[in-house]
Amino acid sequence: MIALTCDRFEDRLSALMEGETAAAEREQLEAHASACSRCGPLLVELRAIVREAGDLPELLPSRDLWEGVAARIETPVVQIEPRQAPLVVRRGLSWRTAAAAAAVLVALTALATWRIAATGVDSQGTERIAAAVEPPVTAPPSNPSAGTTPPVDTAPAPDRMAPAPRSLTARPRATTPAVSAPAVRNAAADAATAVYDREIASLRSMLDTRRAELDSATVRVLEENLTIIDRAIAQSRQALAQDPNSTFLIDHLNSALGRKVQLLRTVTLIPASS
Amino acid sequence: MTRTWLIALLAGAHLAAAHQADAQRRDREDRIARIDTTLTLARGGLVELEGPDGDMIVTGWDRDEVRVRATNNDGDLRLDATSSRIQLKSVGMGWSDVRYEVTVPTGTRLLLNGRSTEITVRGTRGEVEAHTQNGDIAIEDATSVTVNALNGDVELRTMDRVRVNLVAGDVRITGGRGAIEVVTVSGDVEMHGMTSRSVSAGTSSGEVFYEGAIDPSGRYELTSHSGNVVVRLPADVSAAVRLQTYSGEIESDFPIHLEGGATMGGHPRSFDFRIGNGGARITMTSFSGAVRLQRAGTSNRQED
Repeated sequence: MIALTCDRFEDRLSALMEGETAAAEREQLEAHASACSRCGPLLVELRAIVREAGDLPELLPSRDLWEGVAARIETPVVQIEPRQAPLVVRRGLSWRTAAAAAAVLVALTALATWRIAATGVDSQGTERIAAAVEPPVTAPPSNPSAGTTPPVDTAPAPDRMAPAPRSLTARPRATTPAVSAPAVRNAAADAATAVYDREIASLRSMLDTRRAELDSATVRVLEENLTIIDRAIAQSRQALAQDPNSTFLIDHLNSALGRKVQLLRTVTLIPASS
Repeated sequence: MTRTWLIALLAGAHLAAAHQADAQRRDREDRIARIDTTLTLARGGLVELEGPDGDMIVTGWDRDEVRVRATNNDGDLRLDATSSRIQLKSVGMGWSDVRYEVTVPTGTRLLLNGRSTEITVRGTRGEVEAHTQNGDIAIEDATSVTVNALNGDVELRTMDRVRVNLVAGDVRITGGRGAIEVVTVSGDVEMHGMTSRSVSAGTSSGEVFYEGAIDPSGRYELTSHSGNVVVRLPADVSAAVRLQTYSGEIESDFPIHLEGGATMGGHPRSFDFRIGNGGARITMTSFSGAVRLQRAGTSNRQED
């Protein structure tokens, strides 16, 4: 058997992660990893990343969308006789039709976002790690910024405050330093945040185009509640800037972003006021 | 002579006015569409109601029939039916005002769509799905409830599964038995007399309160951003508890024996500990609100 070098291991690492290696080669690669002080930790890190990627925030089109679509394509109802009320032909584009169209748009947006998150492949062909971080079983570590004033009542921040998502490649070169757990966590959190931000921007654009169709009371309720969520996002981000490794804050931020996505999806499905 | 003419003129004017008023009344009544009928529907069938403004009142009974009484003050009504599905909807100009009173066989599935609509459902013992923009929703005695609403309060009593997605409004659940999933942005979430195994409730600016039994294998996740999160538990509960807040207070009527560790100073503050054997998993989180774990019987306050 030919001795396996670190370069060869790295070349075949992707296939190993994908489960595309034959049994003999897999054993050889595993044996090298268990004996090599550089490749072993790398394999462990990557497998941990894959596990964490499984916790990617769910951005599938909501079940509600399907229910709405399903309701529209079910078996057509049959008229009963005698008719108790006159049948009136509706004029123009009904709000149901408009809602169905909006549902399709939202579904497409959500599907596109999900595909980005699920495949994790960016335009450079590198595999992006986009995962939420599971809270630890034990309490979070002590905060280095203990005693600082908590950020409260800050002004709403724009949606695109998140740093650009970092990319991790599945084929690191020999010069690639070992990836630390906090770095992996931060990259995963940043990428997850970026996915949310993209969907929020897309849905926000849809809302802006529909604003004139909605009655003023509805718009007021929406804006008030978007402001509430934006404040929560801003406060979470400000706290996260002080403590970037806090899983509590990462989870809280992602929760607020997810709530905003949910609200905007709901808005796009509201029928026009007339 | 002049007086006679004057009287005749006044009488004529009065008659003309009366005639016009009567015509307007008849015209208005002509515009009110009405339905009052009874139809057969198979058990487990679907009843679908759709109306822009007004009231929807649905009640369950033991007959295999659906009684429909409906009015539309400024539009028409359309009623379609098969043996397994009945659909009632308003047809006409945008914001007509409807009132639907429908009685359905128990076990009927309900799909209710409204815009500014007050929805009341009682005793149907089936699935209920309600969508509104504005208006309160009250549902009692159903197997499962799904609510998507923009603005309005939601009150649910005695049901198995609950899924509520609300933007502005409070959610109050009493006697929930199955999986509970509630999200609201600017409203409170209150749960009383619960026996659920799975509860997930979150709000941004409101408060969350849970009171009820805790299943040894259950999971309970209660979250607010700026509001308090309060859970009142039986004294003999067994649960693994996590209390977390960034800048709020943490209070517990139960003794805290730390297991996984804790961060007590600075931010966030977090406690992991067990009560009893620690079967259930309870997570209470608030960013800036207080997190309070109360023991039933020793504390009657919901919020301080």
